[in-house]
Amino acid sequence: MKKLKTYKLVTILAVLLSVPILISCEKNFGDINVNPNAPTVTNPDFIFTEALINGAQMDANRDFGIWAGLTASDEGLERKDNYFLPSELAINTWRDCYSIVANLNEIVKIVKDDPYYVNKLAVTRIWRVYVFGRLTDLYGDIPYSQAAMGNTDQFLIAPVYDTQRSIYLDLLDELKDAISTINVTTTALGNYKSADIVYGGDLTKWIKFGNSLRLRMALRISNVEPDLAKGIVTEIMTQNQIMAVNGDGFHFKFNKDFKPATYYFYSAGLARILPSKFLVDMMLQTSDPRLPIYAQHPEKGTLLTSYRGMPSELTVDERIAADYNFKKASHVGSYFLREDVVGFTLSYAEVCFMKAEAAFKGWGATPADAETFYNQGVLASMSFFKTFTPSNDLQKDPFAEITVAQINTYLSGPGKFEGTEEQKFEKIITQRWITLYQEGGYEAYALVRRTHYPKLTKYDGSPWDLDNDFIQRMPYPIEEYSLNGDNASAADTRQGKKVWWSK
Amino acid sequence: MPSGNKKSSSGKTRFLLLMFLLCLLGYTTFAQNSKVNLNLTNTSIKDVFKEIEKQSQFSIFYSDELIKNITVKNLTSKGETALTILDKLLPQYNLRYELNNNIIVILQAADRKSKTPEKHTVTGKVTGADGLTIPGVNVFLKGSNEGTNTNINGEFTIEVPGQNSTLIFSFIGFIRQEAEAGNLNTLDIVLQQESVELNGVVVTALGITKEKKALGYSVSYLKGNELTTVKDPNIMNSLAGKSAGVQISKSAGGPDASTRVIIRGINSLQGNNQPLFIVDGIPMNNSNFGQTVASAEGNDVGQGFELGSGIGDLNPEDIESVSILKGPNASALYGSRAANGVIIFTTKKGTKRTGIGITFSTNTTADRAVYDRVYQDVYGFGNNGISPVNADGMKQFQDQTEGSWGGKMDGTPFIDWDGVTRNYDPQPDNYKDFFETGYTSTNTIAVAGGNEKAVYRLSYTNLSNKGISPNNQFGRNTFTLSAGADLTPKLKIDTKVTYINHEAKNRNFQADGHSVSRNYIHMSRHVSDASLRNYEKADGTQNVWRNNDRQSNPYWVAYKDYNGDTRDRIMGNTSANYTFNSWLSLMGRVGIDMYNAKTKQITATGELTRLGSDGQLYEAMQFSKEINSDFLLSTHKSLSSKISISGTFGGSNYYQQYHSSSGRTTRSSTPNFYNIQYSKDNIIAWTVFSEKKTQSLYSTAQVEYNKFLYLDVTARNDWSSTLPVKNNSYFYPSLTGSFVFSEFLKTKDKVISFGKLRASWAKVGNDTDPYRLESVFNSAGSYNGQPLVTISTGLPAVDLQPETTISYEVGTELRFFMDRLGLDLTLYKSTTSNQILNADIATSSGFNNALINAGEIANKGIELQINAEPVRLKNGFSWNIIFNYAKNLSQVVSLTNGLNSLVLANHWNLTVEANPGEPYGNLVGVQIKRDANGNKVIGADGRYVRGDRVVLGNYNPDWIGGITNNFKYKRFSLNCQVDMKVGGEIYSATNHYGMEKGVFIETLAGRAEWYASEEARKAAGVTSAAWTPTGGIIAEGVLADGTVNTRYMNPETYYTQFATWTKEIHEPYVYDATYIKLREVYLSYKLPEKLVNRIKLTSAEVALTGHNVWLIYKKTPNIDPESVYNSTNAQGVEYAALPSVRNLGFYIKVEF
Repeated sequence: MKKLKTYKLVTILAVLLSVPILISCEKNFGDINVNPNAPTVTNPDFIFTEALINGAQMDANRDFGIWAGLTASDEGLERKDNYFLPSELAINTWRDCYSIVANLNEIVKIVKDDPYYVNKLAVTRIWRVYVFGRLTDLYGDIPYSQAAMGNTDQFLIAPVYDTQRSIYLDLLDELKDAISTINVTTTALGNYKSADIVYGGDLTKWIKFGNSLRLRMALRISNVEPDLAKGIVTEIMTQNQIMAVNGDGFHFKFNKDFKPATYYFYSAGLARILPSKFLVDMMLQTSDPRLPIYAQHPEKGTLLTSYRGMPSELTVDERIAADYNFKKASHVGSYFLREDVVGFTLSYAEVCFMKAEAAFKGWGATPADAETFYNQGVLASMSFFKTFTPSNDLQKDPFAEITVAQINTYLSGPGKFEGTEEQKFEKIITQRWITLYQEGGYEAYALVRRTHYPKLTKYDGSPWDLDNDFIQRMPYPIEEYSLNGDNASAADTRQGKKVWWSK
Repeated sequence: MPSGNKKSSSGKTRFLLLMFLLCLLGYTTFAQNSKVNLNLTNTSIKDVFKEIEKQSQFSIFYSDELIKNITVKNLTSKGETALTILDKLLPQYNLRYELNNNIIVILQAADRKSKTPEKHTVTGKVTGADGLTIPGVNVFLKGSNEGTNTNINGEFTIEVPGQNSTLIFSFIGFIRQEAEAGNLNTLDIVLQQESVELNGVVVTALGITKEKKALGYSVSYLKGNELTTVKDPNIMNSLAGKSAGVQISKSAGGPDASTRVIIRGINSLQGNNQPLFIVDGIPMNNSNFGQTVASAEGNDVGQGFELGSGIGDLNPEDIESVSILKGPNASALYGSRAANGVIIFTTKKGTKRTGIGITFSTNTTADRAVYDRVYQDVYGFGNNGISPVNADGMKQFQDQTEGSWGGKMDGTPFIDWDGVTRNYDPQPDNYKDFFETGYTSTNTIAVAGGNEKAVYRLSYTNLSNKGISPNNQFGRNTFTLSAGADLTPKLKIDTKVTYINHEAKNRNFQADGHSVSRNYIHMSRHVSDASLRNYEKADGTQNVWRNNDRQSNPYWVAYKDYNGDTRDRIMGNTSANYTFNSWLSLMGRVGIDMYNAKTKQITATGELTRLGSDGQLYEAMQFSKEINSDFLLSTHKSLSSKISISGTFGGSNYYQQYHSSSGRTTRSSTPNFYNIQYSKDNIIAWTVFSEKKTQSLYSTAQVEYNKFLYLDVTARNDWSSTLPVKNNSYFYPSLTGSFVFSEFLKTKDKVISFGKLRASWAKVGNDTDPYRLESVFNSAGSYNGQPLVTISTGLPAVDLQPETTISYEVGTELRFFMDRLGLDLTLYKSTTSNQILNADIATSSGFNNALINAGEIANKGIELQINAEPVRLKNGFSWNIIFNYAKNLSQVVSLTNGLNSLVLANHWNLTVEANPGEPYGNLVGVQIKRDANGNKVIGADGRYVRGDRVVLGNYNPDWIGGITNNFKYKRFSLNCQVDMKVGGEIYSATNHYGMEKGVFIETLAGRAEWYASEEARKAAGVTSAAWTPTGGIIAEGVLADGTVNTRYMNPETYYTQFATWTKEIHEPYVYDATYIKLREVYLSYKLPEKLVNRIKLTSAEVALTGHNVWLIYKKTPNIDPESVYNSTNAQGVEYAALPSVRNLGFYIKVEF
């Protein structure tokens, strides 16, 4: 009897012990580590939309506008630090751009071997060129041929730096090739359609954007590779498959979930970035009808009745002495402070000014055409705001439409295309620069470095020394020196202060 | 046990080794009970016992009283077992024995009862001062030979003849005590220990109880009052300073903030470095409950507030004892999770006794802020000694102004920040006025009892705390029921269930704009508490002294914003123990630890944030579950009279599951209404699920030779679900030895009473977190209905291997002068290699980081503990000292190839890093430039030249230590514990910003002189350049030409030069973090039994307690050097920490 009891108990014990083991056997040991929180495969469309937004959103970053003289900050700057560099800007821009490239590379991996996806592949490649172009314009020599290839069998985590020249030549080829593979005749061939939140899958517009980008890039290298530039510009001007109306522009529409950085600054009562004194003074002087859209009156109650730009180069003490602060300077215009403002990546107006510059140079058009293109550009720039009026429910202030009469007055008055050849060139560039205020400032910063126009001046009217007062090239992020040090240092040594195309 | 896994060839070897150990066990199974050979004549029974002990695996406990004068005339035994001999021998002397494992307790045989009418029965329990029951105590009727012994549970029953009987209690090692039995039926006795405990028995890995002398590694064992005299809501804080080499730091986030426990330094570069916590054999989840972020952007160090960590849920009142296994050597059997040591808690159990024992205790403290900041109260808002005036010439505060570099607060009328005209007076107490006196009250009632078959204990503890800041409170209820039963003489089961309910409200924010402490760094010294208390405008928006998203009115944060979190946690386990025979037993156990937690955080409508002032809501639900099941087969066997072996074979299965859902609205759609659905923007919501499983087999074998030599081998193999299948099995062994030379030499030396040498070697492996082996795509929300997806910025691991820690340890334990002086010394070295690192990689690779195996970190150190009893007087006065000291040197041997820094944290570009060739935890920041001679260089503008980023310090202390003094006099006991941490640095952003803002007293120097100099200059009509200032502050250093700087500068310029955005210089604000603290004071008085019994109580004790009593020494101005943000590896950075808290109170404990 006693024995039996013991065995019973042992049995109970054994059953008790086996319960947890049985429970634990529910799921195969190997399956337990399958991630339920994120997928390992996805639809390339989803990646593409995100890559477009990320790139386009960066274009609205007005930090670059400070470097282009379009805007100024009310933060604690010191003399000569107008172009002060928040180190996070250098880090974030670099990191974000390479991350976009890595994502675009993932799309290429998925679509490249399927002829059905020829258009998705082409559009992805065009956007990749845009992102790489921006990187090299800011930093000069950068990792390119081995870039963003961490997630490959090579596990490339310390890519070499290529020279800007070789990158530019390759990007221009890549762009031309990508455009040429677009097949607009067969709509059945897979393209991004609604995932293409900029052009809605309109492949003709992608061709126009691609060629306009080629024009921009070719002009960029016109000082250092004039022959090559001339060939490409002439080809584009002749074929004329470029943007022709404001609606062709590459514009990203912000919405309540994707707001531009400026919106955040202002809604938080932080100015950070204000229209610069140089810009406001210039627009006041020329009675530019865009000024009420670009800037606001200083805050009510300050007794300041006119627009007042923020000087760029004053120290905190000097600014107090000169009575400048957030409240006593013009804010960025309310048009740009809407949640649903339209962002700029490449606009038709800018294409007009690029065409004017090409004509001025006699590349693919005669110098006589320059004025036509110039006038078209000013018209496009000023009528842009009517084309892209934000929806009423999100409107802060009633939109001030610029009338045709106002435009004509401007074009026949202070905005007239006249003067010496150099003055005409300056006008083309300056108008393009003013137009680029709508963009965050990345392109304007490149423009100023290449052309040295407009002639930026300091608070006291003395000119900026572009070689010494300016940061001509963004420094590589600190992390590149610690994590890819040999390559980064070698690139630094061979380039010096300036990027190749501005030399 | 894993099924379906391919075993690699090395896996086979490991399997064979396990089998070998199993065979060893098997061998013992077939061995007979060890034989004892005796041939004694006219020997004292004591010596008989000694001889039996020598020849068997048994330890025999007895009282001298009991066997006094017993001489065994003749005893011969050939090949009989010890128990057979005792069976024959003891009845001759009216003795018997009880057997517990291999411990034999000699007892008085059944009482010889004579029936006399007046007699009555007295029952009771004998415990030590530590609350543990004492078996085998002699209980004698005074003036007779009548007596008994307490049983294994310390209980006794004795018949006394009449009303005037006195009982005498005596036991080896304790002070003899008399008590009047009177007409009492129950009589509980507390015996005072006579000297340091002998041959202590400690709880080691897997709950295996071992004699301390047999251990080849260092273990700290604390029990009873040592733990709970002065209580902190978090038991770990009560352990601070009590064990050599255990570093305990509490983060600055309030009373139930997390506590960081580090034993012997940092082993894992990025991983968890805290020990494993075991409660009654079951691991307790100690992961942090998380740290919320204050707003929708960023999660820099110090944002938001933290929610505490798991171990904080443990109820200090339920703890019976704590074992601290300090390194891999002691904890190898626990496997992966124990590479950083193990802390084993044993909770209180019921006891076999008559009647119900009820214990009630209350501990209430008043908690007051300790203010380390010393403010200046001379100058107010403005700059350059001038407070701005408005058009009417009246001083007026301007919204843009922070800090206190303005004009003298002269009492004249001015317009304050809220538009109210006040007198321009300093507010020396505005910071102090914000804080209140808090209190913490812990009340416990426990009911315990049992009979021969079963025991139980039921306890309920309520802890309620009101914090030092307004509207901050938390409470905790803990219910514990534990029960054990002997179902049969061989089968024993134990069960315990604990339910914890935790609720906190308005925890304090750390260093962001919601932080109270941060406000008082930035605001001018004229801002009065009264003006701040008017925190809401008539239109419902926040009334704040600086109207931007960077500061919030602290009262608004306390009363309008809301944060709260609740947690319901259940921990339970059941174990069954079956004893097959005297040498083999099997234990099986299942434990579960699960909780549901909810967090809610509201930024009230009307408060300006970066996203506007609509109000924000963050809400999260978390569920966590851990199931541990294990079995252990144990055996103990004597092979011969000198050699005995014991061993175990066991296995365990660990399963962990975590699930959370959280949501955030960045802008509420309805003012003052907070629900995730009511959002202006896309609702941001996310869910996380993770699970992990580890399966293990392990075995141990211990060989004991002649009671002086011990050798221990352990082997364990783990299979982890988080590693690649081909690498998921890993094996690690350990080997330890102990040599008790005092026993070997058999010296009856009067100086050395005990001496032991120990040594050990161990290897431990470690796995990683779930889901790190594959590249994934992350959702990035949607744009007008288009889904957005991006590839994860981290590269997955390729061929990931487990981490490995190899550790050596040698030590000695010496006791002198009849144990009145004891010394325990340990030297150790451990190296963790093949670390699983989430390494930053160049972002031009397209990715931010990659999971790799690389990196090695080494730690070596020394631990010393000295116990002494310098004074012991006949009148009952005694003085005990415990001193402990630990020094750990860590070295980051290597990171991944080419990587020279691993950033652990970043605050304002001061980074906490691991750098190869240097100790872990470097503080890297910008220094002042030095010339070739090491002088600070001053530029043409009179300011310091910004130097390079260099290592400015390291957060690890040179050494840590503690001294505890205990004085006893009769019923009084006074305990004082002093903690110290020497060396190590801390970066104080409180000082960095506070000096820049001119609010601290240090910034007064030179101001009046500079302003006078400026007056004189203006009067003379001279430009600054042409003027030689006559006063101010002189920056110490040399000019470009090498000459010593003598020019005065504006103190405001001096302090702001270090703190300009993007041009900060950190060097002046990295301080030596040395401190000495009087951590605990405890004065207790035990009420006399007579008095206590009269009011129907069994015992009563009252005490005065003090925690964080006095910061004796520090080198950091304006802050407590112990302040840290949280319990992660990112230590050594302080910003806007709340004041530390001093708790003074009383403790009452009664039993009835």
